[in-house]
Amino acid sequence: MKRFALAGNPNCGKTTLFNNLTGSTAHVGNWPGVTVDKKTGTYKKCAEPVEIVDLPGIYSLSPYTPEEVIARNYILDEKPDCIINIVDATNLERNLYLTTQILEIDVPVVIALNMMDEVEKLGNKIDEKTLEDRLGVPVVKISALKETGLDELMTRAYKASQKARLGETVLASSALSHLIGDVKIALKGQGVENPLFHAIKLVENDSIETEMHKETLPMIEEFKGTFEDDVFGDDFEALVADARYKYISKYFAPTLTKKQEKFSLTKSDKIDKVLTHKVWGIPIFLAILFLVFHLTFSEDLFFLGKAGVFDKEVVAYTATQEVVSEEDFEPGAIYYDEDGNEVEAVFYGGEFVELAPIPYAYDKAGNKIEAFYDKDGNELTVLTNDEGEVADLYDANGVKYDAFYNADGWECELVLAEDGTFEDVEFVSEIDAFRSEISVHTFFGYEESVFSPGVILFNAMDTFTGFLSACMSQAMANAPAWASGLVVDGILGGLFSVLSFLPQILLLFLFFSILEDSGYMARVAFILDRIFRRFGLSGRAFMPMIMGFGCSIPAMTNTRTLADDKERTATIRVIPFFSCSAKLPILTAIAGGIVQFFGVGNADLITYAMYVLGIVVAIATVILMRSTTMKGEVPPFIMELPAYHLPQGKALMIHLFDKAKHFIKKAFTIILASTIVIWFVSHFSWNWQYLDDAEMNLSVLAGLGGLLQPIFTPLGFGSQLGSYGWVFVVAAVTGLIAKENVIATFGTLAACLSAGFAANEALGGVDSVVQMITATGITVPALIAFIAFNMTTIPCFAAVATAKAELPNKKSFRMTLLFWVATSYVVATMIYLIGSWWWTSFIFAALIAAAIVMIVLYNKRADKKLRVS
Amino acid sequence: MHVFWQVLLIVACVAIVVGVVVSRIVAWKKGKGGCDCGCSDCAACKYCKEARQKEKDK
Repeated sequence: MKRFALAGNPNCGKTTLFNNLTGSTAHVGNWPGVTVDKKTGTYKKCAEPVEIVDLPGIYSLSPYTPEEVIARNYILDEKPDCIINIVDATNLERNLYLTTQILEIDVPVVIALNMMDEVEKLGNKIDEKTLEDRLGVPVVKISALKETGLDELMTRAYKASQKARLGETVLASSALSHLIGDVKIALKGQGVENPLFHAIKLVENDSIETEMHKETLPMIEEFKGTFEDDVFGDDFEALVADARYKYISKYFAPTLTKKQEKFSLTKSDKIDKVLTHKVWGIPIFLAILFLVFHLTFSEDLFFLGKAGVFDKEVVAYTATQEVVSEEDFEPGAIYYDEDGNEVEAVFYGGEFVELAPIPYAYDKAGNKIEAFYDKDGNELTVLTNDEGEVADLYDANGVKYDAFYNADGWECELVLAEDGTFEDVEFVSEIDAFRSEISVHTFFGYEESVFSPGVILFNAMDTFTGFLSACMSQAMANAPAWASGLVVDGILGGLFSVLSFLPQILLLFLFFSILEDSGYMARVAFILDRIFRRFGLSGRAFMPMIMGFGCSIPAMTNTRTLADDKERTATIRVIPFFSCSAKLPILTAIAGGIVQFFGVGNADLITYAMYVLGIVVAIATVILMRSTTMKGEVPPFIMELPAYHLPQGKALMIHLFDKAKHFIKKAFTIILASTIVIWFVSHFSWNWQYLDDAEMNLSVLAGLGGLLQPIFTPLGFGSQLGSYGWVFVVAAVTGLIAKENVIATFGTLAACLSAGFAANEALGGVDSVVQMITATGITVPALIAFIAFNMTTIPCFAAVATAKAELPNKKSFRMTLLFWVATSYVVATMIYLIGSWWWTSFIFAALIAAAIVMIVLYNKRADKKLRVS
Repeated sequence: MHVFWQVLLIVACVAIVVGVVVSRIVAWKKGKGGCDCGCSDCAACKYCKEARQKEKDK
């Protein structure tokens, strides 16, 4: 099988071309450096299948970056049958610099002039025939994005691959030609492959070549000694680069005819004037980030509800049809709604919440049951028999009730108070109970607000999983308690509490992908470089951090593009603070729980604030590291800003599909197995006795969690939470396997906790947090501290293993683990203490100030010592 | 619920847990998976595998 390699500058469209040729779904991003390693796929439309290798983007074949080393080694060592050099036609001159180097290798080359659609849109023209003649290799116009010219490209590449080609150089007409020729002859005599390429690199003093050809160096130095240049002296690297650019300007650049027009800023330049503004750049970034979170998590879209757009005065009527307004409602009093149904005003914390219908039981004919009678016609007040069960009940005519119904005619059973009196009606069927809770408000918003698209999608998923859970609960109605508990509470409870967040996670990543694909994320790196640089990190370190929003593992491996070891270690340490998708259910569920139970804040604001907190903690800890143990020079950051373009729908969908596939796979493997284990260890005692839901406090899990509970007391979710406080500790520990497990653990255990007094069905993520709040009495600051702890503590096992492999040594790894534990403990403690007792903020401010002073003094002393020595 | 179904439920649960743990270990040894973000669209997948291999070699 033939092998073709795709080589070109960063962000010239190699991966887009690769995906279109091979049908692959490799990640495409509109910023340089998305591909840091080669990827392979197969093209099947030629006479024989062709393996396509997508190489990382490079500016040259000199070993300045790891990507350049990967690409160079592949081309020289693996010897592809043809190199397809993708040239960004909108940046012809600069892209041809790499072309001039590729042409020096003894390999067939085809030039793909990509982005021709953009060139034509600008009214420019490229004479590809002249360019082809001057380069000496085939040139094909294509648009990888619009998939035009791809078949011709592959046909010509296949044809070219059938004939050997010897390297040629544009330096042949320069003053260096004799020197290069002499070195080439010497290398050829030694049997070196690609003698022209190696000769030029040796003349350039390329570090890899000088290492490889040590024995030839004295001779080359002798040759060089005979060469003199007035401008560059003995800087041969600059000499070669200058000669290349001169040739490109003279012979290649004229093939481009630009439309005659006055100099004006491009659209991208105009947008950049605003988005990368020195002052407004960062506030705009924060505002865009907030908008993304608002559209994904808000229950009050654009704050229309808070603005009073939907305000409507709630009124009820008295028995004599007098209107009673909201401010005159009294707790416990009975009113009538517009349809004449009896309602009661519900208050929470002294505030009116809603008018709730008063429950009654009805007979089969739909008549309200005013009173119950015994067999002898005596009116009953207590409806239970001696065993505490509902006794046989009769109507005034002595007819026995065989079933009870609610006002809508759905079959119900009576719920009795502790003293045996009638209290409520509850649906017999779990599915009916579920159906009764669905309304238009469930999906689209309360009467006083409209939900964001993310919340609407979440509700749809939550309703779907709720329905499945109700069906399963109904199907297992006659099963033993342990079996229905295991399946409904344990497995479905854990699984659904996580799965219900899938739509919101996908929506958030759709927004992130749009930002990335449009080219905005590259600008964010540029904007943040100004801040990061002050704190000892370059903007280049920001790219792995951005990847950290998706997953810490590829983000950590991506730090290999950072040259400085200390900068790399510091970056690896702070990557987990950039909340990954696995942590999203923790943020969303707890934020939703806080809003639902305490009625404070907005879910989107809380989630957004926690993301920003992660970034702030990352910056603060980087400052600390780079000013103490990890001091070092900040390397310069040069990055080409890609032009803005509309995101490619197909690429976005592929990315989302992949994300969904892996999330579901994870849910049905690791999370499923974890929920089963959690259910078992929470329902068996140390002496292997099965425990009911109500006895979970005697379980193995409770025992283990209880042992660790005191450690978390300063963080607000330790000993102060009492009997069920261990659940928070257990959730945090299971999160070390996979962060989704935190909410899966809540889902499993909360469903068991609720089983005693609510419908036996799996709870959604938010409901399970509300259940945990009810059971433990945890406070808002403690819940925020819990989120912060999980965000900043040791990441999942897989990320820890990657960090271990990526960090320079074992000591550094151990220090990193300690760093994560210490940071999470300190941050969560600060949040809990300041949130609970605001005046402690002064103590922390004083401690931080003292630490800063100590560091500054220490550094001054160290500098002084250095100067003296 | 028949005893047969109860036994089957327990066996299925044990099989799921053991299956997941074993498959993870096997995948890990083969240098596959790990982050569960998938390698198909990850530009750094080779680094991941190399990193794990390096870890294994140690």
